[in-house]
Amino acid sequence: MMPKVHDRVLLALSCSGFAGVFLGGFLNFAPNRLARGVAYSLFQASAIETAAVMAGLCALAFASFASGAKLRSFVTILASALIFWGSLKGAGHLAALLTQNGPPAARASPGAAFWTLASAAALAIVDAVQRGNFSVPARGCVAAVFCAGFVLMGAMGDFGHLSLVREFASKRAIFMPELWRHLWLVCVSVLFALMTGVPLTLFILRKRAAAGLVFAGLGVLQTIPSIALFGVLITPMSKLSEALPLLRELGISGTGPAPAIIALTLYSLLPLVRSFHTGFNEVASGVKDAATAIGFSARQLFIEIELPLALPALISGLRVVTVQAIGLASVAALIGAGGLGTFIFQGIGQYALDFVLVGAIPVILLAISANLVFAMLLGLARRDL
Amino acid sequence: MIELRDVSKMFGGVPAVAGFSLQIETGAFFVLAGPSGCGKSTLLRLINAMIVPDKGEIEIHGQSIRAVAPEILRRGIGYVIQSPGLFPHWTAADNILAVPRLLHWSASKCSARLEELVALLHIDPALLRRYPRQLSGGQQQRIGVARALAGDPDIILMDEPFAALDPVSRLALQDEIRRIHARSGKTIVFVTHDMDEALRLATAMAIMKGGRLIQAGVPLEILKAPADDFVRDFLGGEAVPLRLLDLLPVRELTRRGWTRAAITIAADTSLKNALNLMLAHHCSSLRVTDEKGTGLGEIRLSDIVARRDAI
Repeated sequence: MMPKVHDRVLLALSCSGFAGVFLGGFLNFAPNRLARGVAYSLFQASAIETAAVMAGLCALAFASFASGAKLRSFVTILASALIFWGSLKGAGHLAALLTQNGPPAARASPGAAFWTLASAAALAIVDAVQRGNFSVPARGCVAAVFCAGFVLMGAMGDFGHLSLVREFASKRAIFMPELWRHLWLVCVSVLFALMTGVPLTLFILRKRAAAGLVFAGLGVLQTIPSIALFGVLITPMSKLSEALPLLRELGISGTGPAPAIIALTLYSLLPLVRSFHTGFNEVASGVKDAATAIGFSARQLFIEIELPLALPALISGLRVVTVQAIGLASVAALIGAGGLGTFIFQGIGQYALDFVLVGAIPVILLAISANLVFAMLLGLARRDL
Repeated sequence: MIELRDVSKMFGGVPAVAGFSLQIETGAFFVLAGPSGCGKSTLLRLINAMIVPDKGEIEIHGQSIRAVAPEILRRGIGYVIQSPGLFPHWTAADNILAVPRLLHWSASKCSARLEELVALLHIDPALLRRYPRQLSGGQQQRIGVARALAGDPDIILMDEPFAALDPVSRLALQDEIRRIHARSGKTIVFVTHDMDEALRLATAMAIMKGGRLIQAGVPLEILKAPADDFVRDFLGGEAVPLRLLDLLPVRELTRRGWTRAAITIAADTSLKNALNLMLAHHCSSLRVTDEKGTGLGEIRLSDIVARRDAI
């Protein structure tokens, strides 16, 4: 009799991991940036790390047949840890081995098999945490343990020979300013979006007839492609800056952060206003009616009843807007606004994939962590509902 | 006393309440009855200024309700609706104490009031820390009634409060509210379309149709002399004589003297109960006693049937 599959996702992740290992290159080794590299497979890495990865993949496949949800979550997390540790350590060691004997400009970059393994492990953990219905502190713990492991390996110099890390190390001096610049762009534009979005929401809550018009206008803004909007803003902004010396003194011109922030703010408005509007509209009318009828003033109704009941929707809106702004802010590098996008576009220009990743990976991590933080806030806000 | 003088209110060109005048005496259990859409809920919401009339004057204890800010007026008037409209993010206890807190009562006064209400409405104290979604419909409505009573208002408005409940919870809450009314002497204005409920609770009632008052008075008088066919139909048509029996006490038809009847009934029970008892025991007469159990006489089936006030 065939054993029953209880979690198809795990089985699929395990299979994709195996496929990656057997079909794709684990590490790409090239004598320099432009030369074509040679692909090395996982089995050319040291035995213990290869064994860890294979054991992890087998455990993942085994877990998909386990019937107990608790056991499945536990095995999945353990297996993912093995895959993570094995592939990171394996890539680091293999890179060290190859570069020590290779030319000084040699580059060792993770290949398809590595990325397949890493993403399969990450997805398996997310799946286990979600299905296991972990509490917010427990989720935080799992995330912290994995981050700590990663940082520990980095501190031990395990990754020092990967060209990605060498690229990062060589850009360290300009990396931190661009990271802060990126965060600053996101924070300022989300703040501006709040400052315009909140009054706009309150306005269309009162004037219901205006809601359709406002949403139509914001919808048009949302459909403009981001590069086009950045480009479109250049001309009026530079005209404005020429006309008003005060703006020029403040550093506001056709390119740079000013048009970037305006564009990011405009993009944030529709999701923000829509979720705020829905949040307040979905407070049950019976509840509002009862509050008014027993003597809540309009102010008390808003602060004590409507705001707390709409809070989860407000946080969801902020979550969408923040994650979106983190992604879009990378495009802002094109008009000279700076941020992590700078590395991505320079990397593309220089045909240096590792350089691109120095910008891309932090953007992805930023988006994931912002999402995680808002998910936790949402959990807290929903606690009493 | 609540007085409405020539009150009218239109909604989108359709009159919801038209030229309505009514007096509700202090201490009355006043039931506003009528079919759906007759304007009875609108009338209720006019009293606590949730709706402002187009025309006419509403006075409470001789003072126009426009003389005070609406939220101040409403804090002095209890209000219960069908979906209790409890605040989902507040515990049952916080829901009950909403008005006392709006009135800035001290913490000790609030907790003392909470204890009183828990005892008065037979609320299980374990429920107080729960959120509304963790309560059954009947429990929610009990909390809703407690919230309306919490600020100790003179007047309580109830808009079909028990319509969504199961029959057992509905009867239990009807008994509670009748007991609370009898004990406290508060004025209750109660909207319903359920005639059984209206007759069970009302000390005075008004029947409405299309925003107009059709008939007002004591339930017994309305049952005995409906103003027109609409009122008669609304009261139950053919079933009116049976409804009437529910309002008349056995005492009224008791024949003094000795009786052979074996089954006993108290003089204060309704004639409907007497009829029920006769049907249950296949007899045509019952022994009537007072509350101490002393025999007063007997009641006969033939007397119930031959009642002069029968319609």
